Amino acid sequence: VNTILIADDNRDFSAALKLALEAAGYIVYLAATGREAILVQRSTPASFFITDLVMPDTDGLEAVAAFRKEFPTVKIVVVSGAQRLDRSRYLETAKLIGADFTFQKPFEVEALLEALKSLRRP
Amino acid sequence: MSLRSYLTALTLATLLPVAIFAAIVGYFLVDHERDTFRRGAEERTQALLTAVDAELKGSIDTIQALSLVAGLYDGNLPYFRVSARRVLESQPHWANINLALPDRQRVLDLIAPEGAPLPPITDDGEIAILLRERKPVVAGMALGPTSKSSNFAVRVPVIRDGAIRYVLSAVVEPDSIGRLVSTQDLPAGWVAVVLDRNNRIVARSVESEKSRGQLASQSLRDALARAPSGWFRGSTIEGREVYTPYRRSEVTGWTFAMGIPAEAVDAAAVRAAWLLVLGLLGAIGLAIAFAHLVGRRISAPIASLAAATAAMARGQSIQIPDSRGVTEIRVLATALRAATQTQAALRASEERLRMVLGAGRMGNWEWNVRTGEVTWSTDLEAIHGMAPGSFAGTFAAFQKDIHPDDLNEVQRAVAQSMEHGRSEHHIEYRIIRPDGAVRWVEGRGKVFRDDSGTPVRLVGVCMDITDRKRAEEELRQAEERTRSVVDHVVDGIITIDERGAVETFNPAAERIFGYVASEVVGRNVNMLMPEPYRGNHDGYLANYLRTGQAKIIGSGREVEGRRKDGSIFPMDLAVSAFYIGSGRRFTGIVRDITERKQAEQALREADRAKDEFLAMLSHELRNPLAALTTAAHVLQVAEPGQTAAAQARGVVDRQTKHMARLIEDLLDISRVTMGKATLEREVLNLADVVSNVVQSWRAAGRLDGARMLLTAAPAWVNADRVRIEQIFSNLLDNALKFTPAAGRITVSVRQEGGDAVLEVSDEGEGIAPEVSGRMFELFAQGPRGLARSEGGMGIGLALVKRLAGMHGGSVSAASEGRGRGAVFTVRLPAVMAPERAREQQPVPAQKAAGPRRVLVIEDNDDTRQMLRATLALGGHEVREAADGATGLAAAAELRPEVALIDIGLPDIDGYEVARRLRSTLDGAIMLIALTGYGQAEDQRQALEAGFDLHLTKPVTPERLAQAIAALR
Repeated sequence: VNTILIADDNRDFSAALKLALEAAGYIVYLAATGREAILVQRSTPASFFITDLVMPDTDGLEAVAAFRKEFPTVKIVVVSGAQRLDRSRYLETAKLIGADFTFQKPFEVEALLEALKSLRRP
Repeated sequence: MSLRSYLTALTLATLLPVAIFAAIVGYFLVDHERDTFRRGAEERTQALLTAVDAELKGSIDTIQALSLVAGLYDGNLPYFRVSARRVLESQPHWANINLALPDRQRVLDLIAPEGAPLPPITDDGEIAILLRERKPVVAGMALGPTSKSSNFAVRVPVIRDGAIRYVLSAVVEPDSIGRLVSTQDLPAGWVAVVLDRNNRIVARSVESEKSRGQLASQSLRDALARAPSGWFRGSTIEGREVYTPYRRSEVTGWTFAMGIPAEAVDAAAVRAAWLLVLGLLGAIGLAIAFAHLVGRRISAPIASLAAATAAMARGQSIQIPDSRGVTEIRVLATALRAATQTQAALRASEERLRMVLGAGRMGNWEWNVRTGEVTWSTDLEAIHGMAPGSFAGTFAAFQKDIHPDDLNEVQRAVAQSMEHGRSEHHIEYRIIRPDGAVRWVEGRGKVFRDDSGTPVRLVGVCMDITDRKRAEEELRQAEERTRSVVDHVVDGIITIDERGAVETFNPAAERIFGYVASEVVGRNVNMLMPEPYRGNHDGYLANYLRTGQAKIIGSGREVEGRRKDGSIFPMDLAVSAFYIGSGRRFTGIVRDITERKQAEQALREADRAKDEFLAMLSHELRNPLAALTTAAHVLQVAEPGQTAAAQARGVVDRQTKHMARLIEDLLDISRVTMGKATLEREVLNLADVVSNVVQSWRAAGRLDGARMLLTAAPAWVNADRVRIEQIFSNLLDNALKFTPAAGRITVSVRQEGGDAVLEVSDEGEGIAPEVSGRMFELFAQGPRGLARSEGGMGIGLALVKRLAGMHGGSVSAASEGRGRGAVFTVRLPAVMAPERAREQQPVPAQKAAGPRRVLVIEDNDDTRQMLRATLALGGHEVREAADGATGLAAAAELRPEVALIDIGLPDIDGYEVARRLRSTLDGAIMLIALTGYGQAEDQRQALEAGFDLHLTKPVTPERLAQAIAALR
């Protein structure tokens, strides 16, 4: 229940987030792309999926959709630097297709931890 | 002389013989009157003379009877006396009776006393008569010697025995005769007179006593001398003018005459004459009055007709009065009226003609060929700008006005019209008016010939057609303009008729469709259309003509056109309908909008690229920030010594540098794009610059994991070293991004001809053909969604292109396709190598700087503290100040060797702080400016203010250490 899978192509970001989440008591796996994240999840299922939307080889939204379909119980948090644009309200779109929380980069780690905590409650 | 005068004269002439005749008749009338009067008077004279004779006869008879009385014969005188006495007494008018002897001796006298001597009797000659003729005589008036009164005697002879014995006389008082005269009832002024034998007055009707015994008037006596009776005009003894009838008695020798006043006699004649004259005058007056009246009836209408005729002659409008009187005048008036109407009609016609001529600015002329005289109407003079009547009247004067350029043509036209077989000419030419104005005129002339065919005169009209000419010229120019527009307009202009056949096809249409006009004109316009337009067009056109329902006409729309080569292109089409006569035409204006469509497409793509760029920019900036904030969180929660803290510090170090580079690129591209970047050129070896960058990247570990191959030959350029480094770094960064792990990157520097060439090739995924055209454009990205590669923001290559351009060079990219790598080539203008090629100056080894006293003046607390921490870690003695004033005070106390001064301070700016420090501490201090502004202008300002060095934020610890170490 405290395992988290992070998918982000910025390795420095995922590394720093991994450190922060581990400090908060979570077990964290990393993936650099959406496709990789699905493979990791299949082999090592996590309770939470934290993903960027802009990544090589797989669209973050596709990954969210895939997770929602294949792992419906996994809580999904989308973090993205993509700005809200008229034509691509990425974070809203992500929420529509099943993200439980969305954060726009940069965000307060505490707020993320709060969100994860709320998702852990039944 | 007026008609009335003639009529009067006529009347008088008619009257004159009548008047003469009347005068003659009058004269005879007067004469007759006078004669009648005379005869009356003579009869009356005769009657009176008879009465006088009777009276005297009575006395004679009585005295004769007495002579017979007894006594005389016997001489018994006494007896006789007695008898005589009785007789005397019985005769009242007898004054005496005497008896004388023939010798006139009185013998007896009744009134003389008896016995007294008796005087002889008076004898006026009558005694001799008595004695000779033995007849009684009447003696004249005499004063009786015995009676002592004037009486006359009646004497008779007493004859005895045949001898005259005595003369017996009775003395008679003239009263007896006077009574006869006075008892006559004579009109006033008339005089009756009785004269005796001796023409002495016996009795007179007026002044009887006074005139008795006097001689009669001389005129009467003269008349009596001429004839015993008669009628004459004379005067009375009183001298009064009288007519006198007179008669002498044959019996007694006495005369009776009457004096009739001449006035009385003439009065009747004069009255008759007056009557005649008055009658004549009245007749003449009546005749004149009648003639006047009749004359008026004749002359008044004639005078009005005469006035009307005069008015007609003056050209005035007239009214012919009705005339009922004289037939001839009525006929004349009717004729005149008809003439007036004819004249009025003629005048109206003339005025119409003049109006037409005037309205048309038309004048007429006539040229008498024989005399050479040319006459112009005033209208023609006006056309020539001349005052009426001022035309000189010759053909030469006309020629003088003609424009020199047209003179020959006019002369030729006139000459031709004179030739045999021709008669008319029609020319248009210019004239020059006296004021210099040029007018166009149109002349038409006709030649008239005599029987032999010789031209006698030319007659013609001339019209000012300047306005028409001007209008024609304007029309021509307008057509020219329209043609010019149609020929040179960018849009194709095509007109078609109702059947769709092309009528005009302008040059732009030729360019657009690739046909020349002759290939299209007359053919159906649908040859310029692709399907389905082509098949629909005829039906559409027919439908429009039938129903008036338009699909395109009046509005524009986008359709497709078909060129001669069969290619189809988008075009704007606007169609309008118009009429020429009854035929309808359509004008289509077409514009090839291929380029516009492309531009629109490009614009849409540029817009999309911008959106993608903004999204990407957001992503690219927020990602490192997210990493930094997360790392900061880790540093807060982790012990500094823990591995996590160390890893977090590494994250912070990498991500800040990454961000700094991003921002630097952004600012650069903005500066370069806006043309604010300047180059600080120097002659340098491209190979050296590239080698240095590779070395420093390798040293920084940025080339880890890539196989790098560098081949550098000397290639000198005149360039900005920093910008060249930037170009190479971007290309290298790009190659690293797209090269998978263990991929090879080849860098080559060489000189090719006039170019210094830098080539960076990788073995990455290559470049898709659709991208290669615009990969150097700003914000260009590959066709990717969110699933992107390790792409930047699309800035790097755009920056490379612009920087190369600024150096007069170029950049190009080549790829053999996806997955087969790419080659980027930069070409810069090569320059000659310096005389002595700069020796490779070895990069000075970074010597550790000795501890320095450093003053940091910076108002941003984080920056200031980080600087302080960095400097303190380097072993320096650091003092901080948050504003300029504090900084100056601290400097005075510390006397620092180095001062780091922010330019944007809250109180006094960094430049001012530097100036003051420089003035107080002199050269013993190194001043380093810290600023976000990195432009050359900022650097120049800083140096002017006294700074030794200008560092643009963010300043890396390495750069800072290097700067301080440079202090000697």
